[in-house]
Amino acid sequence: MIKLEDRISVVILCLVTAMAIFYSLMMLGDGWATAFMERAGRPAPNEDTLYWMGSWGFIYLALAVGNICALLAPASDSRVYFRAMAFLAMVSFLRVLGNTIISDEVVNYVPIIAQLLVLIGYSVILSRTSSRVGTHFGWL
Amino acid sequence: MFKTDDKVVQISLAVSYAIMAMYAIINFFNPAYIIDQYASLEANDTNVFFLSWFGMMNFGAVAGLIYMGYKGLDRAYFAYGIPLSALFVYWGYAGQSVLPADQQNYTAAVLLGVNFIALLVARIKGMGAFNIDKATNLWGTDDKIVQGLLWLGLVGQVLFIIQYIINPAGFIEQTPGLEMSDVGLRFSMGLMFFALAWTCTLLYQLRCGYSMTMVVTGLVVSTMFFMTMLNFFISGSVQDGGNTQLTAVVILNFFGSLILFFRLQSKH
Repeated sequence: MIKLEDRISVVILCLVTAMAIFYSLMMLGDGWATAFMERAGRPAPNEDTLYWMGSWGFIYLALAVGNICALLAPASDSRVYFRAMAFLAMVSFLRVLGNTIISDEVVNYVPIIAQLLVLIGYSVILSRTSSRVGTHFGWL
Repeated sequence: MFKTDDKVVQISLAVSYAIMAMYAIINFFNPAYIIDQYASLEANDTNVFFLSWFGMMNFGAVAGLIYMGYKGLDRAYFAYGIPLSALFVYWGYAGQSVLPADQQNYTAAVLLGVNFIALLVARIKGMGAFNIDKATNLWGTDDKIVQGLLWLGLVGQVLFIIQYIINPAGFIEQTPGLEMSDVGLRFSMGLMFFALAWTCTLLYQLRCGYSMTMVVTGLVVSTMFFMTMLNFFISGSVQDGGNTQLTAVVILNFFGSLILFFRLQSKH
């Protein structure tokens, strides 16, 4: 059933998928989203914020489904997807890193660590499935 | 789709898919809408908890239908879906018939009735007689770990049914945060119906061989339950440590389903 040939990539994709489903449900449940904002040291979300967090929840859910689709296809069919996800993970990591650097007090390091792990994960998948366009960071 | 050219089968399963997907999405993502539609439902955490539970189970049914769409019809899915739909037609009807006439809403009972007929038609048209062919060995595999996990699943479902028969209110009593009410007890009966349907399909698979469709269905359901449970715990919304038995079952179910899927997936 799983057509992705590389076992390490399968494990990484499964872990990222689990993380995406977890985040998706967290953003979609108002109570869970509020608790998440409090843990992150942010003010309690209002109705508008909860609405947008819910939209992010569906995006996370779509990404989880995308990962599952990538598991069920050979690597050659998913190369563009892996590249897009690696780019998304990099941009998201840079944003979290920037926010962490400029913040006066960091309450929670989990988001930056999680985002870094996702970036490393997709980079490893890119390398192991021969999906890199060039040779930059080929050592990763 | 469904590895058949029979349009009746395809349309029947498309109807079933539409009904299941609609209830999965509404129950899980917007239980407030359902609560608004039924005079018998109050807007409280207990009803939201049970509606979300039903939504997750519906997502599993949707996953099973999608899997069959690619891989072909599977008798074990019908051994799950047909009894479950029939039980829930009764559940929906019985819940409304006790209400005053102006508060009754039979939408769910009717739609689940349509789902039952759709599944029955697809089963009869697509797979013929209701014979139960014996596999070469129990669960249709030599893999002892798979056999053990499927036995655990069967025993777990039967124990849940026995617990319900002994004390129908037990689940609500053991789960901090849930309120006892007639509606809550009716939802508890719904959970027992899910266990009954899983028992039917597991008994079928015990004799005829495991079903990858039901493994995928179980994996989707158990993953959603596990992630939901993590969110409950991490957000601090679990009261008094929660229901220990439910927590243990959700964790075991998730890891058991993962092991089953990864041990069997290469053959499908």
